[in-house]
Amino acid sequence: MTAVTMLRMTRAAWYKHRVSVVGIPAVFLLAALALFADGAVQRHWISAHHLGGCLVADLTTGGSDCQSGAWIMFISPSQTPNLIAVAVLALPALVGLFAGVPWVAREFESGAFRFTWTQGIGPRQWLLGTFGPLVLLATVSAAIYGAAAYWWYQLAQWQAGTSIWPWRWSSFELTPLSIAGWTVLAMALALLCGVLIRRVLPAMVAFTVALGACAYLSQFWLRPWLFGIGTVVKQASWTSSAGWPSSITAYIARTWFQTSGGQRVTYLPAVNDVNAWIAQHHYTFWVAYQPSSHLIWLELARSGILVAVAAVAVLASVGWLRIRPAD
Amino acid sequence: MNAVETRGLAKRYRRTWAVRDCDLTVPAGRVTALVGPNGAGKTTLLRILAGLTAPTAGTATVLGAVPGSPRARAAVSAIDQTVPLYRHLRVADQLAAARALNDRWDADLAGHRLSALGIATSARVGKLSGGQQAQLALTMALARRPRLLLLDEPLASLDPLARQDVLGWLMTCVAEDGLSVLFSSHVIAELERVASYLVVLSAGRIQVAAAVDSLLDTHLALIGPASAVDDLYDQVEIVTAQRAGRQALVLARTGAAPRGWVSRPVTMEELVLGYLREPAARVVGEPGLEIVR
Repeated sequence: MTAVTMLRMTRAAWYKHRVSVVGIPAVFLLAALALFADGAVQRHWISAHHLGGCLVADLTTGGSDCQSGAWIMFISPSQTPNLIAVAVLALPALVGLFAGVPWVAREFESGAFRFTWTQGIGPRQWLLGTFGPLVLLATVSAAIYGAAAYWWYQLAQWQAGTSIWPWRWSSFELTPLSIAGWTVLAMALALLCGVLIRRVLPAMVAFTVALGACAYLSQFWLRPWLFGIGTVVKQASWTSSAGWPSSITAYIARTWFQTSGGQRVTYLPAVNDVNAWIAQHHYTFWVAYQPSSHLIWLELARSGILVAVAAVAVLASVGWLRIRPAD
Repeated sequence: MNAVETRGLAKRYRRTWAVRDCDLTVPAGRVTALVGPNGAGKTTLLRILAGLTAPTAGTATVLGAVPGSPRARAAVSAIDQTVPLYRHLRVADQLAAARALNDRWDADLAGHRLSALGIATSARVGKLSGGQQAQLALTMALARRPRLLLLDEPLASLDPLARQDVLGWLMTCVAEDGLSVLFSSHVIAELERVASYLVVLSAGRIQVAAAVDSLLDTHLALIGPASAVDDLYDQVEIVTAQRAGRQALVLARTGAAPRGWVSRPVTMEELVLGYLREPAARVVGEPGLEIVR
């Protein structure tokens, strides 16, 4: 597809779908603004009470201030920030559901696609030319929104009384990379459901199921699997901190004992004095962990996988359109 | 170069053949009428030619290009019977979208035509009457300056005056620009006024494809005694015979009436209805070919 065709389709998409083109970035940017405003208010409060030193995972760094009434007041036992985090993560899905799916499915349902296809534009150009700019726009807006969400959640975690730990699922997901990745996937699945089903409501249902399945797989299979890849493996002490990662922001992927013969043992027999038993049987203790420096690479890998699945969905849409253009 | 050529063209939807064994040649620079009963395959044929639907078998070309190819898309305009428009848009935005999608766009033609029709560019497309929407679609199709126009029952929603006006406009475009038009309609009387080539499609197959003048010159309506119809089969090629009491009306391919029969010229409507009543009768190519049964 030439750049000229792309430009023509983009211009036509502007005339045809002006509300979505303006609406999608507006929704993301308004949500970003709300998060930014809330984050700014909280940060102002923290700063006014000179409690900035408490905003680290290791509370001892902040000294006695972090035992003060002001700090305790700041930390609410409520889990509301985590609920908001879930809502924040739902936005890409909602954009895909209410803007992405109808964008394609409605054209088929109303028959309006026949207008475009009988102009100087073919089906594949129509699909990629209208959807490409929309995905680009949504992704850039989502990344900005993700940055605001990341900034906001740094304090929100503290307020929920759960302190900052970057490996928590909500911390991992509330980043610009992750939210942009989910947005790309949501839009691609919206495209696929629209092209396959060609009716708005059934396509919305299929989209919800498909994206839900992806979210489930990511949460319960992909992320744990990624966290186990490329770990640093060290012999550590069973009784002291020797050999363990020095930073508490590292992620312990697994631990195990090893016999003198090199065999891995996950559980020890029930004995009264474990230390004596270990020394007697010449067992060693090992730890595999992800240092905090690996986090960005794992986030990049997970977002890359989301984008790769999205690319497969787009290719499947184009292929299906070639097999079954308008019958 | 012919406007349309198909060889062995076929399209199947699940177990049903919408178009089958379709060998068709439509000359360029003419208005060609495409007629047939409901479900005959007219819409499918036009959608294949517009590049909207892929054939199951066979080949088709429009102005020498494969339907749906960039060359074909640039030269062919099509209006589907559903009049596909973006009904949530204003007329001005619909025109702007069409202009953006095309290399060639005659904004003056579109503007003048719509103002002559009294269609405000600020109006929402969905708020226009069915006739106005058809007029808008036709205006946009012609503003692309196509060389071939495929029309699938575009006049159904127009009042008689508007139909006259559209047909007159089409004739002007054909005469001035050498436009080719393939025009599907159930209203044969209006096609008769503009079409110079006739294609009759029945049950997915081409039944008649020939110049209207040649068809009218070589067919006669014969009126005579019903009892003599059987003998008539030995004397002329009969397309169809209708008996009403003691009298019979016969559509025959002949230049003169046999003895005992009164003849008169046939109208295009009689010709079409005669062939549709007898699906086994076929005239494909310039008359001179025999009726195939």
